[in-house]
Amino acid sequence: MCGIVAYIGCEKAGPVLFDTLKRLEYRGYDSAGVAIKSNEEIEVIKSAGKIADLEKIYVSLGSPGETIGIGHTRWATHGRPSDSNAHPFISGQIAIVHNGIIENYLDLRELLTEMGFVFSSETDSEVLAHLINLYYKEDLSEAVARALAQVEGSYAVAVLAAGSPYLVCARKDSPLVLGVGDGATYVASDVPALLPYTRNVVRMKDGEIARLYRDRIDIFDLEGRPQSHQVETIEWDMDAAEKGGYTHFMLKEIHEQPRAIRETFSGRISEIEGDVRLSLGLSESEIRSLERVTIIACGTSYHAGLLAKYLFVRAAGLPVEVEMASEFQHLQVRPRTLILGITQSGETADTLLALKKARTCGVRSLAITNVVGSTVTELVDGTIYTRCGPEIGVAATKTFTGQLIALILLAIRLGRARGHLTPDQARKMIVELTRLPGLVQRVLEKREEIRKIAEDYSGAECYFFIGRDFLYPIALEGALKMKEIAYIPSEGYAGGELKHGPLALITEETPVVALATCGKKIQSNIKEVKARGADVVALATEGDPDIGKVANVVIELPETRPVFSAVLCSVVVQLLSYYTADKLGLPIDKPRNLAKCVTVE
Amino acid sequence: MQAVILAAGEGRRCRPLTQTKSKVMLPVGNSPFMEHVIRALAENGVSELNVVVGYQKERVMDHFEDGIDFDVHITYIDQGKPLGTAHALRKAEPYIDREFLVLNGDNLIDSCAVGELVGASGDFVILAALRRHTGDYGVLTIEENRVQSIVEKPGRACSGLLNTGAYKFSPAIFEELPLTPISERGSYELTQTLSQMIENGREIQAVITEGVWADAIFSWDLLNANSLALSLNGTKVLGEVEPGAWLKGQVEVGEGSVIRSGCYLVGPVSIGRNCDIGPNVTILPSTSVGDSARIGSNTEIRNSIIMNGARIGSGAIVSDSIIGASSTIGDQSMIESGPSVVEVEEKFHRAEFGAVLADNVTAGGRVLLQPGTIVGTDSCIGSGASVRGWIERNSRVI
Repeated sequence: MCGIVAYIGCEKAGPVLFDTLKRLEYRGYDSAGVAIKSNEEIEVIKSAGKIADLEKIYVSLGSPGETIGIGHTRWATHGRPSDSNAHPFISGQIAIVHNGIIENYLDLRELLTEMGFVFSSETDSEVLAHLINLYYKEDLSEAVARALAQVEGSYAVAVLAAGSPYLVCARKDSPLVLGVGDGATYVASDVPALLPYTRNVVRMKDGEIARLYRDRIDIFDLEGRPQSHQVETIEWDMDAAEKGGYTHFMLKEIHEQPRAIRETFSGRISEIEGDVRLSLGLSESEIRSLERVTIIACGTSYHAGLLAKYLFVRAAGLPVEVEMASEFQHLQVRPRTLILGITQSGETADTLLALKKARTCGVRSLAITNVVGSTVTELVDGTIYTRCGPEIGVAATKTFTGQLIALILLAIRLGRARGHLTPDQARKMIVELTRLPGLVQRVLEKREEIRKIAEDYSGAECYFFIGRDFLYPIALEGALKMKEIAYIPSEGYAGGELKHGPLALITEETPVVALATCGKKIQSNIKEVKARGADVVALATEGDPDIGKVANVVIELPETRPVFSAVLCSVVVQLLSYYTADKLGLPIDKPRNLAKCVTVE
Repeated sequence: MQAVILAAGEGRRCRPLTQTKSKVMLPVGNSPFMEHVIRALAENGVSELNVVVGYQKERVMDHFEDGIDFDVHITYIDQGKPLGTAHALRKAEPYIDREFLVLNGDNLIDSCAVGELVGASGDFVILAALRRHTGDYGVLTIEENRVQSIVEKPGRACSGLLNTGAYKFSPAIFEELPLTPISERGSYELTQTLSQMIENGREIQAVITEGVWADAIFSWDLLNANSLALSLNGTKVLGEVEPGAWLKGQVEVGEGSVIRSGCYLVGPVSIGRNCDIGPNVTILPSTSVGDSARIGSNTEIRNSIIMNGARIGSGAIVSDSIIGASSTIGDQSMIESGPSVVEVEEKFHRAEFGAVLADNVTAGGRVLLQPGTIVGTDSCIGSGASVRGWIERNSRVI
């Protein structure tokens, strides 16, 4: 989701633009830029990366510019973010920022090239900049109107010209709001960005074009006829708006999982061919010659990597080592190893360092990340994006399940390329994968049942999570979530390991969450802890006839393949720790001592 | 202008489709009822929306979020106990400070009808629609646009002006709401508030709409609303259409979808995103297929709603039917259409449709679903079974 801002007023434009851009940050972005009027010229600063970095460049240039400017954040969902593709675009004396899609841009581009305009990027937005420049004589708004009349598609634009005393903006099928301040006028893609400056806004209608002065707004239609406008006073507050009715981002993001999962696999699977399409940057023969996979990750991503350990050997015949990134420096990389880095943000310092080290060993590498164009993508041969959208809660939820889906897709691809999976086996897995969002939705509907269990045990001193096979990583993840947000010391163990030590810690006061959707062996482990007086909450497949006899409470999950039931169990342990923390009144979205993206070693 | 959207009720008579989501989220023309409502509001510049939620509110919040994608701003208000429309509206009082609209989230309405309401004068305005059969709705008697009385559910089928449940109010309504008498069902209904206001001599206006307004009382009524909603759509093909496939009339194909060779689609038809259709599938009017659906080769679908993530096998025939989200119908299955009598809430109703399958229903191969079959959520029908009547939630049919 891209964002547009603009300012015309009495203060220096730079700081105001950066501040409003930062307020659009929560929608996600990967490159940003501003254009500010300076001594009858236009100063443009843009770059791929963070707004904070852009601001540093601005300050290092001596905070140039006067009181009129425009700015833009770009979130590339497909294709690379780069300096040249970042907005604003300049053509002669004008600069523009644009959201939306210009459908006839190829025709226009050809036309403009013939007329001698030079293009510096591949974007459709630059066409608009040149088109406005073509028509610009004296009246900027007339030039914009004439340019937009040539354009098919959707747009929200803000235009700045060196010689014009006012800004121009226009919209069609793409959001844009004007803010009426005290001696200043603001523009943003949505209302929250404006709230610190003004609560009086004007919502532009489709096909309208506005001239913005510091003390007034004139709105016209594309034929130049004046239009009336209404100033609306905003009375809601911003924090609540972003959470969309939920009390915490974490709960919102847990509920976004059916969509995040669907987005992550859609367009990549082909049921008819029984294969998965991923751009890995590896040839078929390179995949066939692989001997092992080494996964490098931290925290929740490490747990996702552990699932691959169980999956890759079965689906693709590849043994997997999973290393915590911070410990990787002490290890050697053998030839014919595939290195796979997993990092939500793509910026985790430990993981980046380990990948750099691995690259020096001359092996191929891949990354799984949620952020398009993040640093990790520069270090590897190919990237698989989880398409979960920005995650704001510090505890990873939807990006964890997104990573599991990306790993399942990769397993199928590797398995098919290596001839380890037949097309029919792969097809069956794909069919099951397409059912998964619906199954996750059914698990979400058990929220009241899970909330009650969480509240019953919220006073526990210590929690245990046990699981076997595909569910062992989920047991670890459940324990981590409980530690992270509910601050309850928790342990995740493989079911069979209990008797080799931790059993000593089990008492009547330690609830045990048993992940039991995968195999019968876990039932004997449940009996072991039951015998020590612990209460057992079992996650089992619907209609399991035996589990009710051994567990105190059973949460029934829809039937699916074991590897997919790991995803369903993840959702349950997320809800369990969320409701526990909620009952205890803890700051769920910002737990103490933790940061969303760890960029230090 | 502000608006309140009532979206807290389940819509019990639309069961089993409402077992997993409220009626406002049922899709017609490939968008939930409430999305049509919100788009109609946005087109009229009504952007500050207060949505009263309750039953399955997460589904509503997940879809609309803060409203930015629909060019509006949404505040969610939890109704708590479901005690009727007047009670729901009272919950919105702290958020309203000027003239506002009240709309049901579970009706289909277009921007023309909303515009008529926005432009109407008067402190209390009801949007009325002229219908041949008023059926179960409140009927208005009016004189020179002033409402004389509201007759609740006249019982007999007659033609007249029905109350669409869409209103424009001044904040003065909040003084009247606490005076609403309790109904027989133990709830506080807005129509009762208005009836009492008429008795007390308050002036209530009616606007007779020339725009689109439709409701679905029972689950199978969704098919009519769907065909109405589809007729408002245009032609837009964003997905891939393989050579040899033929699209006729108004057909929408969403991003990432593939229409394989030999398919024949006759509009109005809407196909969502990331669907895999065909080869050799026939889809006839008025059919909506949701996102990520899969329809196998040589299948024919007529006048139906196929929801997100549903799978229909090869060589199947589906007519006048509703297939819930994530449901599966096996190869060579057949859903027959025809007249039938269906029991809903202990009353019998005549209807003509094929079958209504709720979410997560799994039907095996060669299943025959007879006219008027209704299957509850999470049910499973074994291969070769012939099914009729009402199958409860979570059933196993062998």
